[in-house]
Amino acid sequence: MDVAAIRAALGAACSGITGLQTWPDIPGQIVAPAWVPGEVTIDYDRTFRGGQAAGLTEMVVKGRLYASRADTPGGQSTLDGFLTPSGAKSVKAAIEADLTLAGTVRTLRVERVHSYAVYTVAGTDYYGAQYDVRVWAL
Amino acid sequence: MTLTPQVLTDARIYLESADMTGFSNKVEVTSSAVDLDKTTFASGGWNERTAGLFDSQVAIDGFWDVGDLTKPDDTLWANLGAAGTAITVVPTAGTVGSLCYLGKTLETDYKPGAQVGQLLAWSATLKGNTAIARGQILHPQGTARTTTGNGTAVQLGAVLATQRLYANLHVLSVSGTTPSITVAIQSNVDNTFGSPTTRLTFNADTALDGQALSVLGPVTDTWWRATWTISGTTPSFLFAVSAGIAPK
Repeated sequence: MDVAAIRAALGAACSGITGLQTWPDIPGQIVAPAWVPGEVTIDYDRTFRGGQAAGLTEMVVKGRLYASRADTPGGQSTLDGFLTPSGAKSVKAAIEADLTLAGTVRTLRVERVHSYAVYTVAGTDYYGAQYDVRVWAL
Repeated sequence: MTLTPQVLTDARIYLESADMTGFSNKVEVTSSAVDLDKTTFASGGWNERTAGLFDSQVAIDGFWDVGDLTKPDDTLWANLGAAGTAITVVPTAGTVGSLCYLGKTLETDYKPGAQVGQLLAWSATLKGNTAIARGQILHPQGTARTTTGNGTAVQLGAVLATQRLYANLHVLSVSGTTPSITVAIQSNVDNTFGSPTTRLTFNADTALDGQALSVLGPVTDTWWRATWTISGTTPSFLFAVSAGIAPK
């Protein structure tokens, strides 16, 4: 399992959403609206190994979606538009369009959005929400 | 005595022609005996028991996948209700000489399912159709064989007149043009195999397959090995062989 490649593929998966800036990992500064795959939680050995270095590995990638707070109240509406489960603006739909993430995982699911709040990045406040993307890889 | 604990991360599970290892995350081998009450007035105020019929069961959990008889859904669906399902469970990496549990079983249930949003999983139960034997691996699953040959000698021990040698063959991968493999189990008085005796021969396999055979004791030889005869054009086989001794 290549964590960096998975994170990069999560960034690339959303690059087709009009107006959304994407990064392969956590940047020092962002240009909103932005999609940033970030921290990971990994559970190893979800199956027996079968001669491999590890069995099936399960990983949850925390992705954050940011929208400008300077655009009040438009910024919050911009953020809300990306949270829809389907459609051209949907982050969930964009990621789940290819369940292998360009061959980096065996399958995945965008599980939920939470922690909808105001975040400060590099001294600037943004509306933001956090995604849990669960992937399974060898 | 100090404990050497074993974290179960690399258990090998061979079910017919499927190596379930990379698809499974739980395996449990149960061997049991019915306890029969033989308490009498002369038992001194305590229950007395004796063992009745022995029984065995293998329960496996895993993640669903489909495609051919190397995958769990194809294999477990095809063998549901089949009384001769060969299974070998190895708690370690499955090299020659690794301790294993093997048997011929009846697959009694197969349950694929999951809640929405979860990985599709399954569980299966295989109940013993003969003795379950505690034996060793005679041929490892990861070594491809392309020509006729003999395996490494393993000291399983002698087989008493009240016992059988049980052996399983799991043909896990087959390639080539008209490939064929015939696997046999031989014994010898020592590990030189200077004058081996063939004790049982599996049916020739030309495709993915699993077989379970046994031979009645007594056999005074204590050393055992697998041997194989391969034919075809550019044939190649991956297969695992397990063997063990248990009451008949």
